[in-house]
Amino acid sequence: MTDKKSKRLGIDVGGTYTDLVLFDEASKDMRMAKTPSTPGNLVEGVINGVMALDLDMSTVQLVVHGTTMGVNTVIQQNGAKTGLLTTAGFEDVLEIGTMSKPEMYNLFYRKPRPLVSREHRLGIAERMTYEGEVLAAVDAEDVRTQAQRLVDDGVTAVAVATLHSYANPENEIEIARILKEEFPDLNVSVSHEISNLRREFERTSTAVLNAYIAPPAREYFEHLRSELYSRGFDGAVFIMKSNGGVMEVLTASRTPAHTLLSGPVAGSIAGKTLSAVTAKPNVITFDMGGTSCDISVILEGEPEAAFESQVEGYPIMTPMVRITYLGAGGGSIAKIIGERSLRVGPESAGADPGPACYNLGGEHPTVTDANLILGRLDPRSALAGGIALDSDLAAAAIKKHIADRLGMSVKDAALGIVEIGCVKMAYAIREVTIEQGLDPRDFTLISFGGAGPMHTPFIAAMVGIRQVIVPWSPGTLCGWGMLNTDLRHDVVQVVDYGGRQLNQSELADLFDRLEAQGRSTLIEQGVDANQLRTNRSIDMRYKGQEHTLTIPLASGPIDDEMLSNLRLLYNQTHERKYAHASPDEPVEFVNIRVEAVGELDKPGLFVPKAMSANGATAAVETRQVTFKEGDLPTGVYSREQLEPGMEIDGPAIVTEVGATTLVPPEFALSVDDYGNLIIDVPEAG
Amino acid sequence: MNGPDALDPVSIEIVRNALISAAVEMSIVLKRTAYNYIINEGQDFSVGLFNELGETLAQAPGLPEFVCDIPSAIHSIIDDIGGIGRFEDGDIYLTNDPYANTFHVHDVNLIKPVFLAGALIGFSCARAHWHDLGGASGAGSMQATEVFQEGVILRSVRLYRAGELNEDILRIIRENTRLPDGVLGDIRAQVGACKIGEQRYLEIVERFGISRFQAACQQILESGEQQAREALARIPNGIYEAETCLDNDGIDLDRPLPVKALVTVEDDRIDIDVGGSAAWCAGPMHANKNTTTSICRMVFKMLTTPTEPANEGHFRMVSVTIPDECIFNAKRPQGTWPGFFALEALIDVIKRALADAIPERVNADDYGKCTPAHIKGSYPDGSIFFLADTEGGGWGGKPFEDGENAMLFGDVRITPVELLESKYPVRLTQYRLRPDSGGPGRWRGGLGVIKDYLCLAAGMNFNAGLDRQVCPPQGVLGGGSAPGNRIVIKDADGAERVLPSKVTDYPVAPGQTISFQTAGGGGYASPSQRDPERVAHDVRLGLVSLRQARLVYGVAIDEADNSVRLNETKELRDSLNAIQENGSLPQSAACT
Repeated sequence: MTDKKSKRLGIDVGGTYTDLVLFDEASKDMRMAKTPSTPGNLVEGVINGVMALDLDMSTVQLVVHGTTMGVNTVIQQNGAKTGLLTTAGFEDVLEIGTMSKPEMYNLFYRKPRPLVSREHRLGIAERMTYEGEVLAAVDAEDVRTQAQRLVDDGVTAVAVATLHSYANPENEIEIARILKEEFPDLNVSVSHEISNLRREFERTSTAVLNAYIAPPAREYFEHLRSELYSRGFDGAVFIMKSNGGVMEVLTASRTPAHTLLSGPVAGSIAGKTLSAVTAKPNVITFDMGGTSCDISVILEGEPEAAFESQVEGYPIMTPMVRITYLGAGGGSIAKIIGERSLRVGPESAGADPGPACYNLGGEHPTVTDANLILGRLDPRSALAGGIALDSDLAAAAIKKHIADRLGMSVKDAALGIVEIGCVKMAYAIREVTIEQGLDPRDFTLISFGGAGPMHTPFIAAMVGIRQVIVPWSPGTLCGWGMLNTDLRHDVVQVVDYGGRQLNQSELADLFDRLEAQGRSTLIEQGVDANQLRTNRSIDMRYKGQEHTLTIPLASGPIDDEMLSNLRLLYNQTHERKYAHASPDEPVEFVNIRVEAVGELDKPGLFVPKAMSANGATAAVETRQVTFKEGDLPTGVYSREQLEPGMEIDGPAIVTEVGATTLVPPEFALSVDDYGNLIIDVPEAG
Repeated sequence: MNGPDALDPVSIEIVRNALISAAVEMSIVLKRTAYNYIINEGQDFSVGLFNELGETLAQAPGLPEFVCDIPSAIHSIIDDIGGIGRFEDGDIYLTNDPYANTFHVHDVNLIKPVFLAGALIGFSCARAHWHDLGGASGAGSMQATEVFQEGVILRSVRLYRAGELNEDILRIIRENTRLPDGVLGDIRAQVGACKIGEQRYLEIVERFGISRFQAACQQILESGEQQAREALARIPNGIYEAETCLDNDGIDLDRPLPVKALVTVEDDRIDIDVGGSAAWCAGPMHANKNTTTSICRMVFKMLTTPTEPANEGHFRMVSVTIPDECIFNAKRPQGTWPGFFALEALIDVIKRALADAIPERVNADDYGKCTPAHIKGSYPDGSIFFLADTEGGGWGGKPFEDGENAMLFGDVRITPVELLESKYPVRLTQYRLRPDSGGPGRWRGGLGVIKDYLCLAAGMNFNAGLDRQVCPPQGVLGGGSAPGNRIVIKDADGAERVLPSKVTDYPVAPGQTISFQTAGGGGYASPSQRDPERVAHDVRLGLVSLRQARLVYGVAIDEADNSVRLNETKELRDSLNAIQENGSLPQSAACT
C-alpha cells in the first residue's frame, strides 16, 4: 500500500448531521468533520463534509458509508410505486399482518398502511407445500397477465413472495425469471433471496421494503459513487449493513433492505472495538442524541444479535444487531399534567424548533434547557451546527411552564427535569438487560452521542453500573465505528421442514453449501479468499417449542462431540435467557446459519499524542454548576488537554466539539492509555 | 400538600416511574420464564403492585381486558383467611375463583404480601393463563353446564407459607392437569415475577421511607383521579343506553341473550348499569361481577385516559351496577369459560351508548374480538394435536377515518400460515379480507377476514365460538351494521353450509374446508355522507362491491373506468335520504 492511498473515510449520514471520520494509515492521524445533513439531496452533505476536511479523494483507498436514506424513504413514504406478486388467495397477507394492536387502550389505533396498495397485490396460480414439494407449478401466462397489469398501472418495482419459498424457491425463481425476461425494466425483489425464513408476512414485508426502496437506493448510491469518483476517488465504497458488517455498494443497490437498520449499528460496532481494546467484554452502548437513545448490549465481546425488527411498523426479517430505541433525548419536553404532576417526554422538541434555548421558536422547556440552567452546558459554546444557546429563554420557559406552577425555584425545577429524564433512561437500560436474562450491574456503560456523556454518570449510578467510558470524539463515534467493520454476508436455511431432522452428514453437507454460497458472495464483492472466514450457528429449540435460540457452532468437522457441546451450550443459554432448561428434552434444529466475513484492516484506537510538556492538568476555568448537593465550583477541562494517566475528582466538566462530559461530585475521572475518559461511579448511597 | 411527609413533585414522579418500571420488569420476568405461549406470545396475563389496601399502584397488563382486575383477588383472599392480620411474610397465595376474581378457572392469580419490618405494606401479584387445569374437554368448550367441566378451582390456597413451598399443593396441581410440566413451569415464572416485584417495591420504599412513599402513592392515585375527572367532565350529564345480544348460550341455540348498558353521567360520577342484560343461562356464557367491573373500567379508560399506565385513581369515579340473576353475575357452579363473549359485547354497548354524548371519542362496534377456534385431531403416530386460532376482524369506523381492517384486541399475533401448515394436517386455501364486510358509513367499518382450512387428515373435529351473528356489529350516528362472524363448512364438491355460531367437537372429513369468516366493524355516521370518491376507491380496491356502492352508499360507479357518475349518484342519494328519514337503515339488522 502506497502512502498515496493511505486513507480511509467513514461517512455517517444521520437525520440531523453528516459525520465524516478520516483515518490515515500512514500517519495514524484521525480527523473528523460534522456538517448538517441535506435532506433534499443527502450526497450534497457528504461532499460538504469532504470539503470541510479539505480532502483529496485520490488519497483515499476506501469509503465506508452508513445512511438513513432507506429509512427516510419509508418514513416519508416516497419510495417506488411497488407491486406484489404472491400466491393466489394470499394477496392480503401483507395487509392482514400480525393483526396485533400494540396500543391497548387506544380505540383509534392505526395499523401501518401496507406499502403496496391492494390493487397492486396480485395472485399467481402456484402452490408449494411446507415440505418444498411443488403442488402447483407457476402458470407463466398468469405471471405475464398480472405483471402487465402492474406495468400498465405505472408500477416500477415488484416484490415476489410466495408461500413456503424458504423450503423450495423454484416457484419464486420461475416468476422472477419471467419478469426479468419479459419486463426487464421492472426492479424485482425476490423474498427468499433477502429473507429466507419461514413466516410469510414478515418475509413478504421484507421483500416489499426492499422493492420499495430499491429504485431510490440505486439512484442514491450511483449519485454518491459518481460524486466521489469525479473527485479522483477510485477505491471501493462499502455500505453499512444492519448486521454490523458492510457490503459493496453495487450489492447494496440490489438489496438495500439490509441497510435499513444500519443507522445506530455503527455505534454498537464501535462499542465492540472499545470493548476489545479496554478488555471489558460486557458493555452496554448508550448513544443519546437530541430526540432519542439507542441502546445495545455487547456480551462477551459480541453485540447481541436479532433476526427481526420493524421499520416504521413494517416488519423486516434479516440478521441485525439488536438495538433498543428509546424516545428520550436532550429535546425531551418537560410539562405539567393536571395540577402538580411533572412529566418529561415522550414528546420531543426535536431539532426544529428545538429546545427553548435554541431561540428557534421552541416554547417548551426541555432537558437541554435544564442542563443549560444548571451550568452543565456552556451558553458561550455554540453547539455543532453553530446554534448559540440562550440561557434567558431556557430560564423563562422553565419558570413559566414548570417552576411557577409547582412553586419551585427554576434551578430545582431544572434538577428535577434532568433527574426524571435520567430515571427513565436508567429503567430502559435495566429492562433491556433483564429481557436477555442479564444483570446491568455486570456491565460497563459506553456513552456517546451529543447528549450521552452529560447524563450517563447519573444513569449508571441509578442501575448500579460502576464504570462509564466516554470514548474519543463521542459526537462522531458512529463514523469511527464504520471504519472498524468487516464485509459480511449471512446465509440461512430452514432445515426442519419435511417432519424430520438432518443426520450429521446431511448437516455437514448443508453447511458446506451455505459456506460456499457466503464465500462466493464476498469474493464477488472483491474479498481476497484468504481474508475470508465463516462462522456457523444453528437456531435450536426444545421439541414442541415455538421460539428458537441461535447457538454458535465451533469450527471443525461436525461430530458427536461437537453436537453434544452444542447441546450443552443451548441448555446454558436457555437457562440464562429463560431461567429454566430441560436438559433431558429432545432438541430440534430449525434453521442453520452461516456468516461469511471478509476481514478489513482496522484503524484501531486513536492514541492521543502527548500535548503538553509540563503535565499539569489545569482547568480552563472554574464555574458554578448546580448539583443536588448545591452550587459547586466545578473545573472545566478541554478534552484535548487530557492525557493518558490523568486523574480528576468530580465535580468536573470536560468539553470537546460535539459533546460535554459531566463528572458529578463523588465520581472520579481518569484517562486511559487511549485517551478514553473512564468515570468511576460511587456505590449508590 | 404540606407537613413532614410532603413530597416534592420530582420525587412523586420518580416514585411513579419506579412503580411502572417495576410492573414492566415483572411482566418481562413472567414472559421470559413462562413455559406456555399463551403467556409469552398471547399476552394472557396481568402483573402489578398494590398498596396495603389492595389498590392498584402500577400494573402491566398483557391485554387491556385485564386492567386493574387483581384487587378483587386480593380482597377475596383477605375475606377467606379472616383479615389481613393472617398474612405472614413470605406467603404466596393462589386463587382462580371464576365467581370472584378471574375470567375463567384457567386464569390463576399468585398474590404475595409485601412486608417491611413485620408490617404489611402492599402486594406483588402475577396472574397468568394456565394451559390446562383438567375439565371435560379442556379449554374451549362452548357447552359446559357446570364449572367442574371446565377445570379445577383453587381458591385462596397457600402455595408458600412464610417462605416455605407447600409441595402438597404442587402435587394436587400436577395430578389435575393434562400438561403438568408447562403448568408447574408457569407457576415458577409467576413466583419469579412476584419476587422481583416485591424486591423493587422494597427498594422504592427504602429509598423514600415508608411514610413518604405512601404519601407519594396517594398523590399518584389522586393525580390519576384528577386526570380521569377532567376527561369525565367533557362527557355531558345524561342517561345513555344501548344494547346488543349474544347469539345464544351454546345450549339453547334459538334464544339470543341480550346485553344492555345504561350509562348515567352525573357531574363527577359515572355509573354503568348492566341490568336488562340476559338472566342466567344453561350454557357457560357467564362473567362474574369483578371481571364485569374490570371491563367497564377498561372502556372508561379508553374514553378518558387512553395513554396513561393504569392505577386505581383512574377509576374512582366509576361505579358498576349489576343485578343478581344476570349473566354478568356468575354464581357457582355455572360455566364461565366463554363468558368473555358477553364482556366483549358489553364494550361495544357502552361505547355506543355514549356515541351521541362524545362522538369524537368513540368508534363504532368492533367485530366481536374473541373468536376462539380449536381444531383437533391426531397425527399418524397417534399423538394428539390441538391447533388454537383466534382471528382478528374489522374495527368500527372512527370519527375521522375508516375503521381498521383485520385486527386483534391487544398486542397478540396470529400464527403464520407457513407455521400452521408445517405443524398440523391442514392446508390454507385462502386468507384474505372479506369484501363488503365493513359496516357502511361516512367512515366505513374495517373489514373482517376469510380464513379457509382444508382438512387433510381423517378423524378431525373442532370447537369454535364466532358469536355476533344474530346481532352483528352496529354502526353509530347513522352508520350501518356489518355482516356478523360466520363459520362455513365447504364440502369437496363445493357445497357450503353455515354452522351455528358455537360448536363443540364438530367433525370434519379430509377434503372438507372450515371457513372462518370474521365480522367487520360498524360504520360511523350515515353512508350517504361518504365522499363518493372514497366509495369509488373502495370499489377499485375490491373492498366494496359495485352493488353495495349503489344500494347502500348511493354511489353510481362507471364500471369501465371506475369513475363516479355524479348525476345518478345525486338521485340515488336523494332517494336513500328519503328512506332514512322514514326511519329505516338499508343495512343494519335490527336486534331481536
